[in-house]
Amino acid sequence: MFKRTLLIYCCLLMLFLLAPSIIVIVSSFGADAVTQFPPRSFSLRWYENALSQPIFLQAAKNSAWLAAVATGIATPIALAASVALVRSRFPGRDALQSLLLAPLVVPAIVTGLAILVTLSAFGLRDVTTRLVGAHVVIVLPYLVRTITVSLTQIDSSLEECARTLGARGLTAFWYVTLPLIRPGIVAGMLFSFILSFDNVSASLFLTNVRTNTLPLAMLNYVEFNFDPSLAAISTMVLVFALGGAVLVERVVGLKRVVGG
Amino acid sequence: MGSIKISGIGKRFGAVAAIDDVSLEIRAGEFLTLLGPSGCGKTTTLRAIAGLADVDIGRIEIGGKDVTDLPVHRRNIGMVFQNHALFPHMTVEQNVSFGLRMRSVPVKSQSERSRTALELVHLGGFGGRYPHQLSGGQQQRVALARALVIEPEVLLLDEPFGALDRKLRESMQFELRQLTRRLGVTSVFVTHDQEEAMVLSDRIAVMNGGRLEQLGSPAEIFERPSSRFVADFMGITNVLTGHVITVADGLVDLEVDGISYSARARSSMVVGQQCCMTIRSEKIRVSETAPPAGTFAVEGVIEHSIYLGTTSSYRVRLKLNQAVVLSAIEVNQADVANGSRLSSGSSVWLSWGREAIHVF
Repeated sequence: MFKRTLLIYCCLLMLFLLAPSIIVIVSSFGADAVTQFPPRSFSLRWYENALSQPIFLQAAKNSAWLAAVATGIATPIALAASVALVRSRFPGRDALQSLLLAPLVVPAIVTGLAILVTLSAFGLRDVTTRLVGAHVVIVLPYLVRTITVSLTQIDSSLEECARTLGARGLTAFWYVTLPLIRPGIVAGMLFSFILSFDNVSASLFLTNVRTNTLPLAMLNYVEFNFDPSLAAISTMVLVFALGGAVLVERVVGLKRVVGG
Repeated sequence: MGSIKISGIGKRFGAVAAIDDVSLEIRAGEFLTLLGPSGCGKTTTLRAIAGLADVDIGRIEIGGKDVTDLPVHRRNIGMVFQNHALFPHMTVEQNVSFGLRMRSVPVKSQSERSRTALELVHLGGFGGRYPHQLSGGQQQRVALARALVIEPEVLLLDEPFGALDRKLRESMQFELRQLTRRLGVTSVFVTHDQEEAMVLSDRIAVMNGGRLEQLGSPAEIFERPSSRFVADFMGITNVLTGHVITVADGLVDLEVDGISYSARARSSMVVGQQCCMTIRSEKIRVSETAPPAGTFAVEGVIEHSIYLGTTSSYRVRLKLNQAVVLSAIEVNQADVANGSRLSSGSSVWLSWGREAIHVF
């Protein structure tokens, strides 16, 4: 009896969580000029419409590039920081940990504003640099978190053993520790990429008319249009994100990293 | 194979001395065990030899060469860890050849030597497996092969069999002893299990509170413990504390709670000095009748009588001194089944010669 109740409860919960996505996906295939659910007839015309608009294509390219670069810069920083945080005891260690994880607690909109003010104070007006800087800060805590978790799960005697066998410290790290925390790093990079890709609040302050990210382009669009193009774009992004997650799961096993 | 010379090493963690002025020489080809309770400094000493822990003061030499400031990877040591520390993402063969790879040994020679090492520990043909596909004993054997394949000057083992069950542990001990003898490798073994230390070692170094308590062969340690701590830790029975009444002609009289015992004196004994003694339980004779006059004997009552096959073990509470319980072991005669064995509650005489007592 209890088992069945639990099952029903879980199904309802899943439905509740997935409902918005399902509605978006279904309405993206609508043929009407206005987004509605359920659509009266189906077509792929809004996909065509979305893909034929240079604004979206350019913004998507920008977002993907930004997410990749921010992740690429943040990962080595996070890796080095995690090793220091997990392996060594030094004064200010807790403070550093809090500092690295702070963007998790501070609303992203505050981070965005803070970065805008700071960069302006230094006279840095280049949009690309601003965006990359901001996104590195925003994704860093997620990378530090996942990599730290992976590192703490590794027996420190493994690296010690490698050293007794003749490996220098860095060599031991490269051959023993790095392969073992790779799942954590890859998962962290995936989170980081997705997080950067759909960030609105920080980018809001830092973009301009010429350089835009996909979420902001969508935000601009929805101010004047309410056709299912956005639903179509959302569906495509969703498919990409899911695809990425499945790929990571296949390659490294997401459960091992997230569940750990 | 190298000898090890440790001179006056010390290591503090904050206010606690993990190693306190330990000096120790381990001969080439010798099997030495560092024995003691947890926190006695045995593991820290081993890690200091390996270079995984640095010492505050003192000097460590391996094979006559000062290695005190030499980093771990240049010490040419083989180490086996308590949890085997096999690299989980590498196959057995990759694990074993790791040390050779780090030494840039040619690939062909790497695989040959790994195979030989695996055969040495009876795991030929397991090279392609992953550590998690092996049993606990097999994992520890791979770890042993991995440590030996690099032909280290010394082999260091940190409670390698701690996680194994008793039976497997005994067979691994036997195998390890044979292997190290055959290869003649200088070995330092850390354990808190005195039986394991007795089985394996040429010599045992008993440690306590960061200090070296006693160093000697298993027989020396067991028969002539130098302190109450060693006697208790080795599980030696019949340890009594008393003080010296008379010293004369190489003999000493000790008084323990009103009973006076005679024994061979240790060189530096003075009247009034407090000291300990042990009475070897297998050298105590148990009889129902009083022994002839002139023999030392005390009267007691059997509290427990345990039949152990070839021997019987008795625990006897002394009549004159109710606080003392001595344990005695007698070889069973053929007619035990007929009821000749002494039972609990019987009043008996315990007697022994002077050689049964060791004073320290």
